Amino acid sequence: MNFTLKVWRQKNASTPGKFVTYEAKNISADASFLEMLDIVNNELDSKGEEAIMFDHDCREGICGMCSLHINGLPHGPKLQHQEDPAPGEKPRGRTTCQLYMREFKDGDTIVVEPFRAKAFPIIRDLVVDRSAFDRIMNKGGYISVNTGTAQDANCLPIGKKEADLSMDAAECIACGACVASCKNASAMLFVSAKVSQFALLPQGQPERYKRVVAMVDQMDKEGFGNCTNEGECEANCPKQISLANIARMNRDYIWAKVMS
Amino acid sequence: MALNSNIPSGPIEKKWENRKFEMKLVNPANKRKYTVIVVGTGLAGAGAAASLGELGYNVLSFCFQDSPRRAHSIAAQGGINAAKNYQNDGDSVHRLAYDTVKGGDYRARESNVYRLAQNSVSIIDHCVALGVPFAREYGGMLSNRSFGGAQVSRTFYARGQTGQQLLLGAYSAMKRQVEAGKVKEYTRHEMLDLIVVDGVARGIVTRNLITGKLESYVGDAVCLCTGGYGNLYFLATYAKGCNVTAIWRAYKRGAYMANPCYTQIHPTCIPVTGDYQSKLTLMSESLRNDGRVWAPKKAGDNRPPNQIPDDERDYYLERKYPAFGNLAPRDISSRAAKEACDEGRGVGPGGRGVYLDFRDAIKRDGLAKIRERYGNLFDIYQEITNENAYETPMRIYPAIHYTMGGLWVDYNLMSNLQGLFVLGEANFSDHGANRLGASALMQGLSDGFFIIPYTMGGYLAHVKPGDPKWKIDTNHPVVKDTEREVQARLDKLMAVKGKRPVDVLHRELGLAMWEKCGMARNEKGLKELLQTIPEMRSKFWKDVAVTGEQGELNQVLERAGRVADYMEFGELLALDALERRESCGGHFREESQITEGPEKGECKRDDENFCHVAAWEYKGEGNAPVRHTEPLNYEVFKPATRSYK
Amino acid sequence: MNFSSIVKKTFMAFTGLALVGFLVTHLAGNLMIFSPEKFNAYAHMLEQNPLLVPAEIALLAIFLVHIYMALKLTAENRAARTESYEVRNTAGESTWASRNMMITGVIILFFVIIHVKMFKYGDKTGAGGLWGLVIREFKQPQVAIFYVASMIFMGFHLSHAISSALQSLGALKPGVRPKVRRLGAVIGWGLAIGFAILPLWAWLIAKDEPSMPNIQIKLGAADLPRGTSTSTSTPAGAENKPAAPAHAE
Ligand SMILES: Cc1cc2nc3c(=O)[nH]c(=O)nc-3n(C[C@H](O)[C@H](O)[C@H](O)COP(=O)(O)OP(=O)(O)OC[C@H]3O[C@@H](n4cnc5c(N)ncnc54)[C@H](O)[C@@H]3O)c2cc1C
Ligand code: HEM
Ligand code: HEM
Ligand code: SF4
Ligand code: F3S
Ligand code: FES
Repeated sequence: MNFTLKVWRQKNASTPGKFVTYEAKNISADASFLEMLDIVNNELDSKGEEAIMFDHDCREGICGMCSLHINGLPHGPKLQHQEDPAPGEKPRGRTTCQLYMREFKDGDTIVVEPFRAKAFPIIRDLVVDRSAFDRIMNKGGYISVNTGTAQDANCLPIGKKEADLSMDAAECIACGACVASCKNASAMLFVSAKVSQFALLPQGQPERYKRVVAMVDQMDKEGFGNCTNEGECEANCPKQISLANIARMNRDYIWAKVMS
Repeated sequence: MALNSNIPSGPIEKKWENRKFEMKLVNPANKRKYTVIVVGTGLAGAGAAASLGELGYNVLSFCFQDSPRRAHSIAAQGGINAAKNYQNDGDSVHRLAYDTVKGGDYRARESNVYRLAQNSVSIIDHCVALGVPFAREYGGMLSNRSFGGAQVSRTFYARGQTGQQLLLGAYSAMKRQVEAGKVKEYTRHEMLDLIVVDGVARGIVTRNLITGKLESYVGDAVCLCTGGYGNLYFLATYAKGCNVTAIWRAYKRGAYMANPCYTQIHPTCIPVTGDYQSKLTLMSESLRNDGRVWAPKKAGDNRPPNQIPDDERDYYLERKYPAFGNLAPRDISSRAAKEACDEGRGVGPGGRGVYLDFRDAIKRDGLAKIRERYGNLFDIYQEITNENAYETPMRIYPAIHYTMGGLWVDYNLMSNLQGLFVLGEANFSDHGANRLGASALMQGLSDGFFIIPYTMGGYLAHVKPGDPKWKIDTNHPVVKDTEREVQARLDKLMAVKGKRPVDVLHRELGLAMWEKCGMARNEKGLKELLQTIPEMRSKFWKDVAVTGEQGELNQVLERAGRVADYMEFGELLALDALERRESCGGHFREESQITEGPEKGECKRDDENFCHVAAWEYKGEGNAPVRHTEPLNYEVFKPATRSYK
Repeated sequence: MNFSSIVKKTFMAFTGLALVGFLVTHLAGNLMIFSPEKFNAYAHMLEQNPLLVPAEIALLAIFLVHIYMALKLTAENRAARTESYEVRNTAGESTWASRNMMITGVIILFFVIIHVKMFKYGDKTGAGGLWGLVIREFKQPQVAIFYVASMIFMGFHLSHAISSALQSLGALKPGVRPKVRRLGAVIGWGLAIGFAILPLWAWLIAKDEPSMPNIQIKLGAADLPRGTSTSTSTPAGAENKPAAPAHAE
C-alpha cells in the first residue's frame, strides 16, 4: 500500500513547527502504524535526512509511551465492531502501536500531529513532555505504607465487585489521549482513574479525601483545562476508562471541601 | 579475583535471617548523608528507590522512558508466584524454592532461590497494602491460578496485566518518596557509563535524552536495575528500548558478566510475518490448555489449514510427549516447533510457524465457552494478523522472551565491583538456566523491596560519607575521564555518516544470533557466529547512518548506541554458549542430548563439568575475556534429571 | 479569587440547575398565557409577593455567577491548548451542543436582556395588560422569530447542561450516564420547545388584541406612575371568578 503522510515537524520547544509531506511506499497492510513510520524513517536515515521522532516502547499497548494524533484522533481511528457485538458491548480501545495499516485505504493522506496541550509541551516533532502526569501522581497517587509493615494479604477481604471496579480504573496507562482528545485539554479522566482506584479499595480510605484534593490542585497548576463533560476522553481512551470515575472524583472532591 | 558468593552460614531457611543479623546497621540519623544511584524503574528499580527512600537514604532514580511507570515490567501479563498456600494445596516456601531450582535445571544458586521463596510471601502482603487490585474471589479473598512448572496453584494475578499493576504499585511507593524529597527522578536519561573510582562504583554518566547533554551523577553506591538484553535478537517480546548498554558498560569497567547464554524462548508468540516487523507479541501460554499444536505432515504443504485432513496433520507434541501433550514445558515445545519448521513443514509467511488449533475445543465446548476463556487473546491475534482464529487455526512460533544471564552478584546482590549492586532481570538471577513463569516479577520485587534495603545498609555501614578521602564530586578526574570516553564514542557514531539504517543492521545481527544461538546451538554454528559478529561490527562502524545532531533529542543516536553495544555483547554471549558444552534449560547444545531411551532428544546436563556459574571478566579491547566459575552447591535440593515425559 | 477547577464546576452546576429550576417555574407560569385571566392574575400574584425582590436579586446573582464562571472556565480551557490541531475529529461522544456552550450561553444572555427589557420593563398598561403586551409583541414576526430562534439555542444549551451538571456534581453512578444524558436532553429540549410554543401560538393562533372579547380594561393604570401599578387588568369576563383584588394604594 502507498500513503501520503503529512507529519508535524518541530525542531524543539522554542522553534515553530510545520507540516512536512512524506510518501510511504510499499507498506504491508499488516504493518503497524509505528512500523510504517519506521520504514519511512529508515529511508530518511539512508538519505541522510533527519528521522521523524516519536515516542514508543512496548509496542503492545501497555506502556502508554506511544502517542500521536492521527487524522484528528489520538491513537488514530477507533476500532469498529468486527462481528455482532453483545448488547451494550463497546469495541475494544487501542493505542497507536496497535493500529494497523490495513485500516487505511491505499493512497490515503494521513495527517500525523503530536498530542497538543499546554501542559504537554512539544519536545521535538511528535514527542511531547507528559511529566505533568508524574507531578500529579507525586501529590497523592499512592497509599502511604512503608515496606515490611503490611499484614497478611487475606486479612483484608475485598468484595469482587469493588476489586473489579478498582481494577477497571487501574488499567489507565497514562498515555494522555484523554487530554489530547478533550477540547479543553483536561486531565480529569487520568486523575480520576487513579483517585478512583484507591477510593474503591479499603486500603485507600485513610487518605481518600486528602488525596483527591492534592491531586486535583496539582492538575490545575499544571495548566490542564476544566472538564465540561464532553466525553471524548472516554471514547478515545485505549483502556476505556469510564467517565463514572470523573463523577466519583467530583463527588469526593466536593465532599472533601464541604467537610473541611 | 576469586568469586566469593558470600553465602551466609546456617541451615538454608536461616541463612537470610543470619545475614540480616550479621550486617552492620547505619545509624538512622546518618542515612540522609548517603546518596544511592538507582538506574532503572522497573519492579526492581522502583522497589529499590522506594524502600531505600523510606529508610532515609537520598536516592537518584534514572530511566530512559518519559516516566518511571513505563519500565518494561509493565508488559508482564500472567502473574506472580508466592508461597502463600492460600489454596491449601500443599504449597510452601520449600516447595516454591524446589520448583524454582528444578525449573532452572539446577543452575541457580540455591540459597538465593530459597530467600526468594521466603520473600514471596511478604511481596503479596506489601502489594495488597499498596493498593494493587489483584483478582479476588466472591468471598473477598485473593484468587490464584496455576502456572507452568508447578503442581500447586500459587500465581496471583490482575487480569492480563499483572506486571502493570505491580509496577504501578512499586511506582506509587516511589512517587511517595519523590514527594517526601527522598527520591529525585531523572526521566529520559540514559546511562552510558559507570564511574569507578579506585575499584569502587561511585556514579554514572548519563545522556539527557532531551538536551543531548552528558550529565554525570555520583554517590555512595550504584544499583543497576536495567532489565534484560533479549533485544539483542532484534525480534523479541521486549519493549523497543530495552538494552544491554547499562550492564555492558559496567562489564567493561570490571563487573563480571554471568551466564549470558541463558536465554528463554517462549513457545507461543505470534510469528514473524514480514521484514517490516519490529517486535513479536506474546500470546498467553494458557492457550495451550485448549488448543492443539500441529504442523502439516508433508513439507511445503501450503493448502489452507482447514483443507488439510486430519490424517495429513502431525500433532507432534501429542505424538512425542503423550503424557504432557500440548502442555509440554516451554523449552521443549519451542524446540519441537523449530524442528518441524526446519523440516520444511512450517506454515505461514517464511515457513516459520505452526498451528495452534481450536477447532476441536470449539466442537467440544462450543464457541461461546472458548470466546469467554480467550476472547481477549483472539482479538489481539486478529488485530495483528487480520485472521479470525475461531475459523482458521492460529499461527504461533517461539520468540525470545527473557534473559536469565546478567551481571554476576553475590548473595548480597553486590557485583564483584565494590558498591555496584545489580537487581532484577539485569543480574544473573535466581533462575539458573531456565525461568519458570510468574517468577521474574517475584524476583524483581524481592530484590528491590526486600533485599536491597538490608544489604545496602550493610555495605554503606562501612563507608564514611564525610571522609574527604571518600567524598567526590562530578569534577573528579575519573568522572571527567569517563565523560570524555563516552563523548568520544558518541562522536565516533556521529562521524560514521554511513547509509545503512540502524534498524537494518540490528535486524541482521539479531537474525544471525537467532539462527546460530537461538533455540538450539552447536559448536559449528557458534564458531561461525563468532566469526560473523566481528565482521558485522566493523561493517556497523563503517555503514551506520546516524542522522540528526547530538545536542538534541535524537532517537537514531540512542538506538545506534544500543546496537553498538549489542554488536559487542553478542560475541560474549556466543562465546559463553560455546564454552558451556552441555545442555541445560534454555541452553540447548545439540551435541549434548540424550540419545536413547524415553528421554531421547532432551537436554543432557553435565553436572560433572558444568555445575557452575560462568562469570566473564573483561580484559580490555582486543583481548579475550576470561571465564571464571562459581561452583554451585546443592545442600537441600539434590540435582536430578529434569523430566517431563 | 482562584477556585479549583472542580469548585468552579460545582458553582457552574449549581447555578445552572437553579436556572433550570427557574425556567421550569417560569414555563409553568407562562403556559397560563392560553388563558389571559390566569396569566395576568398569576403575574399579579407574583408582583404581590414580598419575596419577589429578594428572589429577583438571587436570580440575578445566580446568573452573574453562572456567567462569570462560564467566562473563566472557557478562558482557561482555551488557554489549555495554545496551538490547535490541524485536523480534529470526534470519536462520537461530544456534540455540537457540548462544544458550543459558550456560544449558546451568550445567545441566551443576549436574549434575556432583550426579553427582560421587553416584558418586565415593557409597557404593561395597554389593552390586555401584561398579557396584551406579550401578545402584541409576539404578533410582530421579527419578535416571534427572534424568540423561537433563541429557544433553539437554549435547547442546545440545555440538552447538554442538565446531564452535565449532574456529572459535575458527581451524581452519576457507573452505567447510568447514557440514560441520564438522554433524559437530560429530553428535558432540555422539552423546556425549549415549551417556551418556543408560546411566541408561535401568540403569533399565529392567538386572537388579535382588538378582538379580545374577554378582556376589558377596568382599571387604566396609565395615570399611575410606572411601577406603582400593581393591578393593571382585571379579567372582566370571568364572571364566576373574583376579580383580582384591587390594590389599596
Ligand atoms: C511480554 C512479557 C511478559 C512477561 N510476563 C511475565 C509474567 O507473567 N510473570 C513474570 O514473573 N515475568 C514476566 N515477564 C518477565 C518480567 O516482566 C521481567 O523480567 C521483569 O519485569 C524485569 O524487571 P526489571 O525491574 O528487572 O527490569 P525492567 O522492568 O525491564 O526495567 C528496566 C528499567 O531500566 C531502565 N533502563 C534500562 N536501560 C537503561 C539505561 N541504559 N539507562 C537508564 N535506564 C535504563 C528502564 O528505563 C527501566 O526503567 C514477562 C516479560 C515479557 C517481555
Ligand atoms: C437560563 C439560562 C441558563 C441555564 C438554565 C443554564 C444552565 C446551565 C447548566 C445546567 C450548565 C451545566 C453546568 C455543568 O456542566 O456543571 C450550564 C453550562 C454552561 N453555561 Fe449555562 N445556563 C444558562 C445561561 C447561560 C449563560 C447566559 C451563559 C453565558 C453567558 C452560559 C454559559 C454556560 C457555559 C459556557 C456552560 C458550560 C460550562 C461547563 O459545563 O462547565 N449559560 N449552563
Ligand atoms: C418564550 C417565552 C417566554 C415568555 C412568554 C416569557 C414571559 C415573561 C414575562 C411576561 C415576564 C415579565 C414578568 C413580569 O414583569 O412580571 C418575564 C420575565 C422574565 N423572563 Fe421570561 N418569558 C419567556 C421565556 C423566558 C426565557 C427562555 C428566559 C430565560 C432564559 C426568561 C427569563 C425571564 C426573566 C429573567 C424575567 C425577569 C423575571 C423577574 O425579574 O422577575 N424568559 N418573562
Ligand atoms: S485515562 Fe485513558 S486516555 Fe487517559 S491517560 Fe489513562 S489510559 Fe490514556
Ligand atoms: S473530553 Fe474533556 S471535557 Fe471532560 S469528559 Fe472528557 S475531560
Ligand atoms: S508503545 Fe507501549 S503502549 Fe504503544
